[in-house]
Amino acid sequence: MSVRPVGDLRRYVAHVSHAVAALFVAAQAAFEDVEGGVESGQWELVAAQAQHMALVCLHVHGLAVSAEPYIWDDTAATDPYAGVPDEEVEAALRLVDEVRLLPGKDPGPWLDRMRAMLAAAEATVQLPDRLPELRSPAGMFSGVRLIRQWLPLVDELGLPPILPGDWTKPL
Amino acid sequence: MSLAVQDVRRSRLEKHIAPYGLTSEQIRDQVDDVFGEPLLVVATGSVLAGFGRSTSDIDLYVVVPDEVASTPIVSYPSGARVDTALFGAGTLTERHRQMAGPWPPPDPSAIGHTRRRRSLDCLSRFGLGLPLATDAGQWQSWQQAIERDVPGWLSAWHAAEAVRKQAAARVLLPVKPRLAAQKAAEAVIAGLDRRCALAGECYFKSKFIGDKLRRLGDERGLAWARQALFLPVTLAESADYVRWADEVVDTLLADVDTRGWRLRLVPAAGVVWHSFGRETLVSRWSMRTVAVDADSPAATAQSWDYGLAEPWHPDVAGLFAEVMLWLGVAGPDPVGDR
Repeated sequence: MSVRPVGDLRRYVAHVSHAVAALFVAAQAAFEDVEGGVESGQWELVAAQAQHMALVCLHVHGLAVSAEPYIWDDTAATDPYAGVPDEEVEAALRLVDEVRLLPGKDPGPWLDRMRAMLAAAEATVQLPDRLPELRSPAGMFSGVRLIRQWLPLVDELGLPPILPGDWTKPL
Repeated sequence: MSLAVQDVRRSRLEKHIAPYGLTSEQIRDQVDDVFGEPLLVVATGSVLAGFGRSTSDIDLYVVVPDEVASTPIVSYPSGARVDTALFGAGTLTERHRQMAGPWPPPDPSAIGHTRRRRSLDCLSRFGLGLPLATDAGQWQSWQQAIERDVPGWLSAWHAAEAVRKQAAARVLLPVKPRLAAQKAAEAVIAGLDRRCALAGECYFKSKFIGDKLRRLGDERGLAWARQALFLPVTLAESADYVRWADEVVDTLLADVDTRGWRLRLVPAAGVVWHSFGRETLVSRWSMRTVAVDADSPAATAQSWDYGLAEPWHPDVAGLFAEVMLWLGVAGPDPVGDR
């Protein structure tokens, strides 16, 4: 049987669609910068993008509970911590803070924990398959195809656009 | 662009693509003429700026005659990643014309703010890139003119952003200290980005703030950036962090003439006011709702203006903290100055 309760319709649609878009467009790119920055010793880039990735992942968790989609929005008060218990916020920021200790050390274990943070955020949307990688030859179209199937209901419910305006609107 | 600068950019491009066995001509050939014969093809992005890595992509920014959506087109010649973004000549000309307007503008809006950010990102990439194909006329000159204007545009943008985020941090601190710390960090980074732009480091992306400051030899700025890039881990550290950031931002903006600047709040996207007896309900995307007294200024006005140091009405501050309002910075009204 495939029947499963998913709770409030708006909450479920907003969470799945916006979480996937945020992970696909923002978090994956941030993690790629983190990996590349570790390799090249660009530690401020690593810190900036580790923080960005952590905030996107926290927002994905919050979307499942009580946050509204914000990722392409900047009111100056948009809150990536909304709906997330403070101990989870603290754990995420502590992981980012460990960038300070990385120079001269094996970054492997830390990168694994960052990778796990990304996977845990992705797991909240329960996709049947892993999310495609945007920055791979087939990834962009696979990801956009995945997201496009949700557009009609997102529009019908009057939820904010899933994809960033930078992608969908002329300059 | 001087020949020396052009040589540096060409050298960065060639060094990046050489391991893939590619030439700049082959990169240029990634641009198709399906949207019309390109008027200008510029290689740009972090690689050309000198911050890229071996896995970084090459951005190709292209001017075409007709209007197009700006969704990036990705290709992988010989395994190198190339992101091509097309821009219609008419829109680009209009966006460039709009850059002549003052920033911050006298009538800020969320749409205008987003448009300015996108215009800056796009135009600065054109201006700071390496032309791979030009019309040897209007668009070649246009690209050179852009490069000259970029520092001024960016410094004005970052100054207003620093003020905006600093104001947000101050208002948020009593109710959402973690968020206040994040906004305070963004204010410091914006202030440092302005410092970089004024010193000639004009790459728009803030994530490279450390690389920009390091290349400038700006040790003090780099120390500030390193503090700003690590948010306080515990809630208890937030207030001290916000106060530290506030002082740094004041230092970074000490030379900015903010006379006539004001803060303006307007409803955020997706926000609706509902009359409900003695209360007004304010909801966003019909996903979250807050109640406010029906006779409160937060319920009866359409927008709210404050001086940079002026206290906000508590209900307006409350709606802002609840992410129901968008905050902008308004510059002097040219009519009012006459």
